[in-house]
Amino acid sequence: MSKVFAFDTSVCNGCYCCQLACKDEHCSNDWTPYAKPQPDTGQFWLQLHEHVRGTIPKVKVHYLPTLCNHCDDAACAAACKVEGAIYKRDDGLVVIDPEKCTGCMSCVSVCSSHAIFINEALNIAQKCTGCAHLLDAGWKEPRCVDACPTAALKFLDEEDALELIERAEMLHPEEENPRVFYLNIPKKFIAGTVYDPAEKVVVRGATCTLTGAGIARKATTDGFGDFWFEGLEAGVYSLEIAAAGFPVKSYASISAEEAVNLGDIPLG
Amino acid sequence: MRGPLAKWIERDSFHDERISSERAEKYPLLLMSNHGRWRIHAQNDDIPWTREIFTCKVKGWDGYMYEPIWMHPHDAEARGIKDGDLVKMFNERGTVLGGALVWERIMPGAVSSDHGARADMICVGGPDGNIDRGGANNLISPLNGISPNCWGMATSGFLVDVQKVTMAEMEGWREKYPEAFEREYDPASGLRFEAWVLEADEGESR
Repeated sequence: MSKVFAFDTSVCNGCYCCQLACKDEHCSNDWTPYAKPQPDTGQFWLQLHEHVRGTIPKVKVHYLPTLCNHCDDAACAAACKVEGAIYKRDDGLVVIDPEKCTGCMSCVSVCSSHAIFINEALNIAQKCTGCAHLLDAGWKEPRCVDACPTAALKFLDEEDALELIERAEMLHPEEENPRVFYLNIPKKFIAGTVYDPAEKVVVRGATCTLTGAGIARKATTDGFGDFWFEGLEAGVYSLEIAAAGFPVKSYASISAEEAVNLGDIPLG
Repeated sequence: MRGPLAKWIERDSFHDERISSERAEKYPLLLMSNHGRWRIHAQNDDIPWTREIFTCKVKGWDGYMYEPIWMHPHDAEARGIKDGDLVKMFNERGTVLGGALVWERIMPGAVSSDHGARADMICVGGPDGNIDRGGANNLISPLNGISPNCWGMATSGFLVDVQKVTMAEMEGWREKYPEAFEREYDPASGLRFEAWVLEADEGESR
């Protein structure tokens, strides 16, 4: 049965258990014929990355794990010069045979995800095996998924995940049919704080209207005078801020190539 | 006077560590020193798998794993500091080195560096004062306790400045204090047992 990894950014709290559990499983442990021991440091068969959006004080952080995408038409397997050294299992996992690999490094540079590492001491290429040695011993999921306390990272039957895959993104869509899918990766935001310069207080309940990139949305400033427009595609937007007793504040052109913090906005 | 309710004291005979202080002209940044995420105070600062995580240690250009010092891009730019640079954090009590993590996750005017990094002294006393490569910022925290009425270490919220460490400055220290750079050190786990224990009894457990 074909398997896929699914990662939901919205529930990852950045605990790094996935990365550490992967090391716990593979460093110093010899799982030949699936994998030889990973060096104690320097390789990340699964690595968690932190991404920062916005500027102070409107800053958001999210986390994304990267690992081998177990592509169906894997570029690494195509580049491999040794027959059968990189093979695809029936469950979809791509494995580098540590006994056949000659360490020629042909696979390393063709991987868009940079998921393949060279073990210089053993002279072989190494990467995520999906903990195939555990799956074959009856485990339902690899160690990284087992260690995830929020179930952000899942290991699913592909046929049960079709609806999820439909909604998901891939970090490297140029790869040939990857098997790691990401949900809810944050998009751009436009945010700011609205205040009354005469009274030096924030303005609650101001109506903010954002248009552009094919959308028109409204938001109301909260108790901190803040408004947030989350989930925006990159593009150019215009914004109007209106509150009773104040002149309307307008922005004709806000370029949201990255997240935008408009800062403290005086009305009038 | 210890009243029934806690109240803000800008300065007193015990502490003068606010940005309103004259000291802030020389040391304008407030250090926030949290409990480390990747260790318990000074314990567990030697775990290879957590030291590889970039919020745990910053690899300097000399290969040493430095304690991260978070800085806002405005403060860093004003000092010519870039993300990943080797920096020194100091006040009149001494200097600790670190690796700059320059990003928006810290307020301008503040820097953040966890306490408990293991000390690795370049020099103690003498003409250059106290310089610690390990980044143990308790070495430059206020000498007084938290209050005349209540003992506790004041380990956070004190004045420092941060500047870039140039290669020439580092080479100068290396020439002047060669023994400090000869301690047995492994980037994966930090200073080794042999770095501090000069003679171990035969058969003694490590």
